[in-house]
Amino acid sequence: MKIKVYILVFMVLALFAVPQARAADSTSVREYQVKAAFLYNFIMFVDWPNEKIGSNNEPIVIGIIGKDPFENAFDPVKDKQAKDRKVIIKRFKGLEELKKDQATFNQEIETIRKCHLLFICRSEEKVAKEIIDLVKNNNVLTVGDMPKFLEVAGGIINFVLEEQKVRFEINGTAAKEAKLQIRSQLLRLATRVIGEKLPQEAKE
Amino acid sequence: MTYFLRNMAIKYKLMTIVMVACTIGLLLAGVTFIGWEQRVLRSSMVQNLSTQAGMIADNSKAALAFEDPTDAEKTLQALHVDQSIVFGGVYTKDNKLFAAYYRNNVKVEVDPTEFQKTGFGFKDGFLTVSNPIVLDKEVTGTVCLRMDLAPMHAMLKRNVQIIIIVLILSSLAAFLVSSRLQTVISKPILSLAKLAKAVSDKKDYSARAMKQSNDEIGLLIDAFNEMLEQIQKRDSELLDAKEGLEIKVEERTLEITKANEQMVREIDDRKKAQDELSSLLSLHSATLESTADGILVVDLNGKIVSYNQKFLQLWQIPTNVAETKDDQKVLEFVLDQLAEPEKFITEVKRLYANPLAQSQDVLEFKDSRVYERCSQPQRIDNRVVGRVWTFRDITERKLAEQALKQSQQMLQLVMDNVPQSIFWKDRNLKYLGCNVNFAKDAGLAKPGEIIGKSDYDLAWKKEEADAYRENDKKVMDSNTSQYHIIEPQQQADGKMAWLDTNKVPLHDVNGNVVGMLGSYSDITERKKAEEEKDKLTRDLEDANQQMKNFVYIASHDLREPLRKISAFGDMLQKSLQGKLEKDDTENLQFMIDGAQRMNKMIEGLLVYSRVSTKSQPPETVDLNEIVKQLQQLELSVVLQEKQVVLEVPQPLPCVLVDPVQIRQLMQNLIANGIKYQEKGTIPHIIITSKPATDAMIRIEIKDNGIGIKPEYQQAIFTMFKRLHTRNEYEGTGIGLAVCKKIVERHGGQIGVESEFGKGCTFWFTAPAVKKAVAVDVAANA
Repeated sequence: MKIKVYILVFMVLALFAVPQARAADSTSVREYQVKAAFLYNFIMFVDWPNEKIGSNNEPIVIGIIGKDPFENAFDPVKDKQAKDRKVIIKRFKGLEELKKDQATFNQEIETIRKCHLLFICRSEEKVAKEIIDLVKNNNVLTVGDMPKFLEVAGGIINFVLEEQKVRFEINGTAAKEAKLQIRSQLLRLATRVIGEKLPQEAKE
Repeated sequence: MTYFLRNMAIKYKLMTIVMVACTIGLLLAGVTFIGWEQRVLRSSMVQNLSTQAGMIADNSKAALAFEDPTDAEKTLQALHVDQSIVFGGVYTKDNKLFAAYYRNNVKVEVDPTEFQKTGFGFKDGFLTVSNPIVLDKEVTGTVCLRMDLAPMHAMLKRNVQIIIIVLILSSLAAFLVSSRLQTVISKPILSLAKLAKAVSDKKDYSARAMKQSNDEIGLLIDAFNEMLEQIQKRDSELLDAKEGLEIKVEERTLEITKANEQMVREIDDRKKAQDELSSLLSLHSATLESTADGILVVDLNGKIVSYNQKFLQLWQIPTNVAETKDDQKVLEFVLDQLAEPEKFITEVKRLYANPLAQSQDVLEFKDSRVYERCSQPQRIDNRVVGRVWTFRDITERKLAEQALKQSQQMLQLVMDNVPQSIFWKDRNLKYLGCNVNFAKDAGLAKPGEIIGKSDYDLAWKKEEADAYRENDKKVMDSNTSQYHIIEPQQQADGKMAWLDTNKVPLHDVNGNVVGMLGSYSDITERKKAEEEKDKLTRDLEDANQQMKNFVYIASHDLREPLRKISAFGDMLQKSLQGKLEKDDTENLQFMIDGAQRMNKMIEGLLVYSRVSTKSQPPETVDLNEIVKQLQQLELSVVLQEKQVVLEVPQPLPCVLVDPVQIRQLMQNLIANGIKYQEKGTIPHIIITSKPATDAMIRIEIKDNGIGIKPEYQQAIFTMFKRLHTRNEYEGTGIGLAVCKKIVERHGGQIGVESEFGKGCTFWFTAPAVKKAVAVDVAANA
């Protein structure tokens, strides 16, 4: 009698449990969770000039421009601190859309320039270079998620997928131009480093 | 240790003490050194390894953050520089192995949680160190390193070896030094000891020791010299006393030696006696155990002295109870099983009260076992010392006796209750026994009295006895039974009886004839009846024959005068025609008629008598043929005259009969049916047949005539019986009597079924033809 009840309960539970488990494991969700975590971790391996980093109380800002692919991916790292500071996420419309509203355009650009890290979404692929030029002299770590982001657009870090794993490549020249110090540990992990004579032997 | 030291020479004592002290000191120093060394080594190893772990933790935090195990493995690969590190691993926050390094690819499983608290651990000859990986103040993983402790142990081992060598060398040095220095103390003591030995060996108490120093040994030498002086004095006194004593001792020794020899002889004798006794005892006990009886020996107080195993088996006494020799416990066991324990106890008490008494009785058990109990006093040299009880299981014997008795009783009962008389004799023709009936016939009050008697001692006549004995002898000599000997017997009550006797030989187990058994029934009554019957039959046959002859002769002879009367009557009637008065004509007619009728009657009688005298052997006769012939010949006239309807609806069967007589029978019965009719009625006769019992065929002849009243239905078959006047229906009254006689001659029956006024059915049965008829009947049915 008891055993039957247990079996019934177990079957009902199984009915609810299975679909949830599947949804969570979806590859693209997992991919963007990893990318979100990487964005956080970049902060820890990149040093900004003192004037950009500001006083102790100021948070570190991650900007996301374009059509946001992250959805809930930042949830696991929401309350995490980096370099003893809060990290906040700011989302911006795509450049074309921002240009439509000339009134707020300059204001928005200013806000973007204040970000420490700017993630340029795939929707902005065509205007990536334009965005990067806009923030050029503001010590912004530009991170992209598209091919040729480093060479054509002049971005600093670009996510790539290698054997289903999220990896990244670094543009040393761009980093230097942005006056950002990228730690050797991070450089070592990059799949590819262009410009700058860097410790290539670490890749061997 | 101290005991061991106590008996050593002083020289060695001193050396041993020096050596032991030296060695213990060195050992303690060595152990302390090694302990310290190990501690230092360990802590330095922990420190070294922790430092390495810390470096690796720092170097692999980026790899961990960006999930790049290859990079972490590269970092770990640096560990190969240190030969003693066997494993290095980077674990994620939730303690999953992220990257690993194994020396020589020997896989090792390490659970980082085990060491996370303490930071390191010594286990199974390995040192394992763990170090957290901290990224931006947050622990993101753990590094674990494992080091093989073998090199450290090897180092320690080498240290121990060095210490041992030092120990040996220093012991050697101590030995050399102490062996030199000990002489300072041991030399004067040794010289004193030598002197003391010389004194005790040579009994020379005049020697004196030399004093060499003024320490405790010097004092000792002085005291020793003093002592020697005193001993010297005493010694001379002792010598005198000793001589007297020696003489006494010698005398005593001689006495003791003599007594000793005497004792040795006595012991020998006793041993021999004991051997004999023990062999006797073993024989005795073997005898006891081999007997089928249970044996119990008790002393005069009823205490158990001895018993054999069979005794225990018989009474189902457990060995442990018996071994206690507690007679009360054993008695409890015994009483429990008995049907009448009181009787048992009474007998036991009686016997114990009379030590000389003997007894033998039978014990009955609750479970229907039966034991025989014997008791005898046990004597030693005519002195009663106890009692021997023997028990024997006689249950089966008793049961067999009982069964035998029962079967004997049964046999006796059967013999005494059969109507026959039974007796049995031995080979000398002397009676061994008989039953009640025989005893009565022989004139004895009881069957037992017959034993040993011969036939001449009994009621019957001498010649009868001779005949019986001759017969008996024949039966025994030839070893064959004789049955149904019919013989006379003069019985005790004076009756002359006829007997039907059977005699059979009696055998022993080997098949030899040892006697005979006879039984007879009294057939006097039967015999008498048979004789009477025979006589009657003979008389009857005579009478019958006479009558047959008479009837035949009478009928034949009677016909002659009748024929004359008839013939002359006819002639007279013709010649006197018209001349006589009317009355006379009538009278003459009466006379002629009478003569004719009488002629017919005589013919009938002739026929009747012929039935028995002129019969032919039976043969197969087809009844259809008979009926057909009757229609064409004997009955043709009357059938035509009366326009009779004769009907045979089914073909009739064949019968096994005298063909002439069956024709007569059928003719009579058909004619009867035609004759007894109301005037003006057309006779209707139906002949049918059906099978009857006992392989007979039943033939039925039915008519539509006047019928017969029930009260006459038997009478009509008797001779000359007529139901009607001559005027109504002609007839002699013989026809049906003839029918009856014919049917009965063939073993059949005849009868009539009728309701008065509605016709009647005559029926008879006749033997069927054996096989063929059966088929016919089946076909007809």
